[in-house]
Amino acid sequence: MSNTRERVLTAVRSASEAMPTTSFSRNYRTSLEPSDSILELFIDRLLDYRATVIDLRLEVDADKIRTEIEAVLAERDIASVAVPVGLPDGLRPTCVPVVEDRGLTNSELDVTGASLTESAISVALSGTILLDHAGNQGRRALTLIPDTHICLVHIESIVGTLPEAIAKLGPRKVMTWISGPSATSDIELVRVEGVHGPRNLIVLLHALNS
Amino acid sequence: MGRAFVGIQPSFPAAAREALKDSQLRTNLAHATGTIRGKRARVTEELPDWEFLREAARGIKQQTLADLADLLVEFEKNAQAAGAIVHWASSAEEAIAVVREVAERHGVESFVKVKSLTTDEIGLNEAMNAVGVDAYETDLAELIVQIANEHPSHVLVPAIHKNRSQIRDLFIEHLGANEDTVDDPAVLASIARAHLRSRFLDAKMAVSGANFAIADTGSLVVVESEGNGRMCLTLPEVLVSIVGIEKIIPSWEDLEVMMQVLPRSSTGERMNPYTTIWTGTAEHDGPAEVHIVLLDNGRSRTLAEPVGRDALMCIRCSACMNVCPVYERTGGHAYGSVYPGPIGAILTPQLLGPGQAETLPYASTLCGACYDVCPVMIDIPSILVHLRATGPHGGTEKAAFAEVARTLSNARGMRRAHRWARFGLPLARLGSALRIGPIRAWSRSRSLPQVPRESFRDWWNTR
Amino acid sequence: MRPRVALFATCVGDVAFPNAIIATVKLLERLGVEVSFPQAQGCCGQMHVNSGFPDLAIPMVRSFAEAFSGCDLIVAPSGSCVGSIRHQMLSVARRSGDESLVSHVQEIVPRVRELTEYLVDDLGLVDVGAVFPHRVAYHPSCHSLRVARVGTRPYDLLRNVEGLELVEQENADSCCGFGGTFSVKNSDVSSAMLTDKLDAITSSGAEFVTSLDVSCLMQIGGGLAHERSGVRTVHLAEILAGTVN
Repeated sequence: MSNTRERVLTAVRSASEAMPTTSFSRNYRTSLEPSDSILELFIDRLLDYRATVIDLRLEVDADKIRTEIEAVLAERDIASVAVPVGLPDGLRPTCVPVVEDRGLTNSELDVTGASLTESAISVALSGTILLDHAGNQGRRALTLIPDTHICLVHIESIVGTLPEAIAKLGPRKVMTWISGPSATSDIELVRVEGVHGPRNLIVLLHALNS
Repeated sequence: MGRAFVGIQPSFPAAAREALKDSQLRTNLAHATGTIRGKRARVTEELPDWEFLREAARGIKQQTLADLADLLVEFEKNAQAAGAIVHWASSAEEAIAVVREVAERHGVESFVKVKSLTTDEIGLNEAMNAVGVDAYETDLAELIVQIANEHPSHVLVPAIHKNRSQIRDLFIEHLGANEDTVDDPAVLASIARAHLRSRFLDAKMAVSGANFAIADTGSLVVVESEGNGRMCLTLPEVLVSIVGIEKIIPSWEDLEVMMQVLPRSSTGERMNPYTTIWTGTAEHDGPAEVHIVLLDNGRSRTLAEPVGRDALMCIRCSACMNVCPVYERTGGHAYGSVYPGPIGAILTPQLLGPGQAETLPYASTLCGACYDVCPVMIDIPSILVHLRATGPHGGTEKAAFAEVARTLSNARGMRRAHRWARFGLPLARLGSALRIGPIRAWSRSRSLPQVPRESFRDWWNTR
Repeated sequence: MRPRVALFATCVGDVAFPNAIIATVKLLERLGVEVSFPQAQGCCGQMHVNSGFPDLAIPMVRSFAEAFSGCDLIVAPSGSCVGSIRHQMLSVARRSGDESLVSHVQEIVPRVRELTEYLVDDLGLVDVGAVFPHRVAYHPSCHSLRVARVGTRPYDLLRNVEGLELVEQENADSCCGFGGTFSVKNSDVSSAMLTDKLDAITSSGAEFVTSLDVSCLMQIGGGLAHERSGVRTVHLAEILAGTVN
């Protein structure tokens, strides 16, 4: 195998030897115009992806946010919720069993109604929520297997453009970027929401500082 | 799909002629490519900085090619430091051997797969089946193609050649769907979900490709829509990712460009539903054993081509095939490669090497639509023309062009050309009436022009 | 002072579609332009480059450079030939290894104008005083659109022709299927593309199809004649010059 490595690298090195070194400009936008409402743009994009948006943009009271989460669970007949260990206690619903993910098996997650997590940063222009799987978001399987993902987004964690998010966040060991519920356009390029990933994405916007 | 890179390919004109007989195929393609063209146009036109993003994307990929050896070493070092096992493969066989070894060591009889052109290129599924390991495609379109026992016909939507009722019939026949299943895409997607659910939850091993390999972090990136990718990349214990060496991007920061141009060019969405980024192994999250196979398979040879190497900048968005008037009529199978359409016409002959796929560079009118939409600005028409120049030519063809060249190089020749056209075309018309010669195919749908008695030159000189 | 231009008639125009070139001359002269026709000109070499014989194009490029040596502005009624001159001619010159040819070509190329570019940019005209009371479909040829990049100039000119009704056609900017050598080597696909183009034209209700490129008009016109459709093909210069009979 190490022979192959040397062979490939030697071939690549000699192939690109005479290539001129290039420079290029990064003239693309790194922020939006001040007149653009980032929050409105973000909501518009999420709705376009057919995510559900619960707009509590001014809400700073954990109890009120929790009550709203409980209303969502009741409305959708969701009977159990899995949460990451780092989710603040005050946000955990009390109306249904809440299980903390300390190594739940795939089949245990599969019979859980929803996952409830926070998020790292969001991009308004593309309606993208970035998870870096820190303690308040949990490991990747948590937000993948249950059929509903309720994702809390602090309004101050929303930036305008992807370059802003990339600069703020920096490289992470694992990341998941989410733009709406799972979808496919594989049949006649008709977009259908809901395939293997969570079929329901519920984004709850809030202003609570932990 | 091993077929693409083994055995003798039919010529494009012959394969295209067959494809054109399938009017259902043309209807499906026209509908699908028309839809996606419109979506792409809307989401690129709404960005005021789209051209700047294209220029940056091009710059990033050019830098990648210029520094590729160093970037590969950097990627390897960072991926290893993060816990990944990095392999190198100069050929399809070597890459397959890695997957086989991992599968055997873990004693698996099957693995789940994320849609990956690179694995199709090396014919992984067929090779693994031959040694008793089943590869389960999990992308909806790949699943459709797999149960239909066909090959992908498009890099992004491999089942673009099938319509909803054809897919419904396949699901009834192969996935046990009820006879009265309706041909609603949402219903069909839910059947696929149910079919694959336990496979995901129980899978021990997965195989993927990657959209990007980030040199300065050692991370891989997979872009997808359905969540089948996340399932495969997260739940199994062992993951093997086969990555073409040109998939490198130099830095984490470059993602901010590539992830703006790729989804908008590809599915015409502002962002694809899911992107997974992983760096080696993570504690208590995802596969405990992560392999990366860096694959050459003709890429370093292509990189040595001063004009043709730009084909390696391709990020497999498929925008070029969605706008290509030739692809829209023939579909992907006529190209005889996992890489169809305009990009395939320049990539396939180069990856395969001299003497292969020689008709593909001619499978274009050079209309330039592909160049206009390419997010990394690959000048596909110019590379097609270059490959025509470096490829073989018949002696008769060359002699004819040489004669024409001598004629059209001076005033006397131009007058001779007019006489030829005047008297040659009536002869050709006679030929077409008698259905002889190359004129016959042309004149099946076109009449030949009447050449006036007086050329422009005659008019100018006598007025 | 009267504006002066040298005309590049293009080989196909000169030999097979003289009406388009004559119309170009008449139009320019009517607008007060002094037109010259350097007799030594032949072909720009595009056909050979695109068919995979760039070295055979060298003598054509040489004669082009010699013919137009010393001309201020060169006008050609063809998006395709102008596109090739701009994007291919220099690379052909470089293949010759003749540095004087390279610099000669470098000096000439920026002075070449497609007819509509010359009218709109150099003369500053969108209304050339033409009258054409017909329904017209415009076929934006691929090379005028995406290689020479004439932009909206042809539309601007057509919209200012008195009495002319510019009709919409479906997928107007899709290729007619000619593609030079493509129409021979892949004649089946070429025909399939042409069929769709013809459908779009005939269902647009047009009486005439116009374009900047005679090669596309040959393909489309050949198809229309084969179908015995009543729709006629004319070069844009013929409409602007008022020479359509």
